[in-house]
Amino acid sequence: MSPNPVMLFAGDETLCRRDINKIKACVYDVWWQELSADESSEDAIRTACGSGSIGFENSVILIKDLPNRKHFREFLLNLINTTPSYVRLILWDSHNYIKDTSHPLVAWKEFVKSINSIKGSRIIDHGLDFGNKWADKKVIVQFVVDAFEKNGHSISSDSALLFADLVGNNRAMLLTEVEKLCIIAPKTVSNSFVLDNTFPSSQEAILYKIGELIDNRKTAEAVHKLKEFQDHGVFYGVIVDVLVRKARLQLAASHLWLQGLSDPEISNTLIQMGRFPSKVWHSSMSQGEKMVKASEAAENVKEYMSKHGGMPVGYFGELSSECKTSKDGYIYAEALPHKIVADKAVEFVHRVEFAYKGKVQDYKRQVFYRFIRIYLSVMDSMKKIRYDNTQVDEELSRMVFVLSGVMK
Amino acid sequence: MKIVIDQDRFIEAIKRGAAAALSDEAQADSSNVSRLIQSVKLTAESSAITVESTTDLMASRANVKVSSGIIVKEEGVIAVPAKEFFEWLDKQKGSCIGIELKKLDTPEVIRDADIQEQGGNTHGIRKIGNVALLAKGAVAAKWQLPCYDPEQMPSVDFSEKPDASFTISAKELANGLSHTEIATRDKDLEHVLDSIIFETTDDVVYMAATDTVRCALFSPSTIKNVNAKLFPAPNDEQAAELAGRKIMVPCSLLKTISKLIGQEGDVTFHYVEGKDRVFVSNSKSEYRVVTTNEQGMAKVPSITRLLATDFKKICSINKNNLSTILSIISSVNPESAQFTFANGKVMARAKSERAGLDPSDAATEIDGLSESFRAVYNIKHLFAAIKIATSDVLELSIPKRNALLLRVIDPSDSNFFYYSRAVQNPIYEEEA
Repeated sequence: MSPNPVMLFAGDETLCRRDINKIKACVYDVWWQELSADESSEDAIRTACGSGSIGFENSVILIKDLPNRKHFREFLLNLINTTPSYVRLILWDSHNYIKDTSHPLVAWKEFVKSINSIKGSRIIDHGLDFGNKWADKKVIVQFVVDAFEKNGHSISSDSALLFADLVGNNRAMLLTEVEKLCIIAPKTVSNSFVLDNTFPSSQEAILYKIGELIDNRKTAEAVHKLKEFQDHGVFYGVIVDVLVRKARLQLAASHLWLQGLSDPEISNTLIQMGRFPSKVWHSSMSQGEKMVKASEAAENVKEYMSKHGGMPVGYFGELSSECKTSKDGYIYAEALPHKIVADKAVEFVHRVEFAYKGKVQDYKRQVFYRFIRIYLSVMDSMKKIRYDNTQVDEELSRMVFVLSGVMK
Repeated sequence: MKIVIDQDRFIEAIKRGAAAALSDEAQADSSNVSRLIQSVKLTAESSAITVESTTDLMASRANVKVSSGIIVKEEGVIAVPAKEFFEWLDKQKGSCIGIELKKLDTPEVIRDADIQEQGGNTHGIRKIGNVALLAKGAVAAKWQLPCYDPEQMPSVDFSEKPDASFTISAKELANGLSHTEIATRDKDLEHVLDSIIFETTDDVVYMAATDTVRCALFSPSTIKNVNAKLFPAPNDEQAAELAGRKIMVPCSLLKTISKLIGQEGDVTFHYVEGKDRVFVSNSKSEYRVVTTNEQGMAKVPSITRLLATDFKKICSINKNNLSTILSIISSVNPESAQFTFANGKVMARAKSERAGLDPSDAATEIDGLSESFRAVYNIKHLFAAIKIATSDVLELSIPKRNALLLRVIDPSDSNFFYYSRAVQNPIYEEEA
């Protein structure tokens, strides 16, 4: 008896479930049964596969939650070889042993190879979440570009990266967001369309969204957006951090502009500024040296707090070794996620420059002073919110007005 | 509203009328109208007190006629939380219960967090007052519950039920349920495999249930007033076209109703075509429950095919002996075992996929073996048949053409048939 072809699903859970539901919806006159290998014994699975059904000539049996046991893999291969012809098997590695890149198992590779060798069998690999390394960013961009193309739309690499930054690195979230956007998207998807319509899922994404509104002086919309974020469960502390970061970014942009750097130079410097202490990012050290300095600073704080502040040493976590040594980890932890944020900051400095030029003396310095005032005012609001959370909404609105230049 | 009523008569009406609000489905409801879904509506009129409640799956209504021991001092309608009301009432055994609505001057709108205002209209549950509860007996007690606006409660018009589809004695319904429920699944969201099927073939109405690998059939002897339109007679012109028409009602709901109705009198079913609902009523209470939809019913094959299959009797077997050998071998494989019928004996052998377990064997004598054969059957299915059978001996049959099915008959219960699919299990193949 030749084995029946099987389907093996691996990777992203949501996408696998979606595909399985699609198959389920389009099969007729077939009895569909789902078994969890976590809950059903091998004997129960064997009995279910051999029972057929009263009234249906064919049946499909989906076996999910495959355990990481050699015996079970052998059992599955035996089951595939001996299942009656009226039963079609679908296997779903919902625990993701096949795709586990952190602990790749040779045994599962062999298992996949065995499935592959069965004529007519199909392996549907939806992959796992994309990593955070720069190398993965290229893969994400291609993934997003392909997803838009599949839906009949085109998107540039730059916009695709922005889109991925807003949505996150989860495949299912990216795909569903693409499908949602494609309902209203123009033939070519632009940066502004992505910014206006993509639902943000990270701190950086909130920064893009609110930053765009603030830079364009759409203060009422920005305040509304803040409330919307809070309604969706974003903690106000996160929003405060985002607004302070924006003020700091603008201040840094104006400072670099005052130093006479060109726009691309400013953008590049801002991208690498990240969250470093100023003494580190203003220096001419190499990135590796900056990294060491940064970790030293953190260690010094730990030492100070434990020796002079009375905090037990165990209260402080360790800096991850990857963060200290890996270039990728360093870049991810310390750099801005996307150039567009830096570009926007530079653009905003030029807008203020345009407003001041010819109207005030020594306008360059005045522009810089303006950004210092904004930064200090925003920091003031942050302190008020941190020490008294009774006026969060008022202070958040004030920060928006100050950042957009409506209020000084 | 103001009434005085005996606890023992009232609690029975509440139990039936508030069945929908007291159901697990209603009590687990977390929607913004959960307060209404979990409430029971009491309507006091000079002639009767009506108790009603409704959910998506079920609606229930019961009446208490005004007679001695019941005084309606003031007519009116109230809606109170069913669970709290029932539990308080249940504890006042032997007491006389007084219920009075104390209306608020202005209804209070309860704004649950997720209730929105739309178009300027207030969407919220209106609390119109409090219902004072007083119990006088060996123990005196008083309490009050909120009264919601009864007009906001979903209601079912029981007077609109169509002609009766069939009538069955309450005892037979309970009996049929206990016989067929063994072949249902615990839960099926489409209400196909967790439902009881009422289907007719050759003028006999059957109750049936299947989980696709086994089927339990029961033909109640007391079904009467069968509506030919719903269950066409075989000679009818449309019979062929409408063959296999059936009603499917979720087993859990039907069991609840059967329990509330008890075993006295008759129960009438009124199927509402096209609306996937059936009214079930007896002299004391009425219910409306959801039925499986057309697509769901189409998934279940007609029992006619099963009944038309020619079976040959293989043997008779002592129920207790069969139970014992199943118990012995199920410690190795509780799912399936190979049965060899030969030489006046049945030998059962269980083998497991689990490593390190040797096969387990057990055998027992059988009577009247017509032919030797070997097949693998589901142990759990056989246990279920043993559990429901009342006589000491079971008759086993297989189809004349193949051994894909095993039919189990209880000789003392000619209305009951039980079918189980044979299992193709390659681990037993080497035994052949």
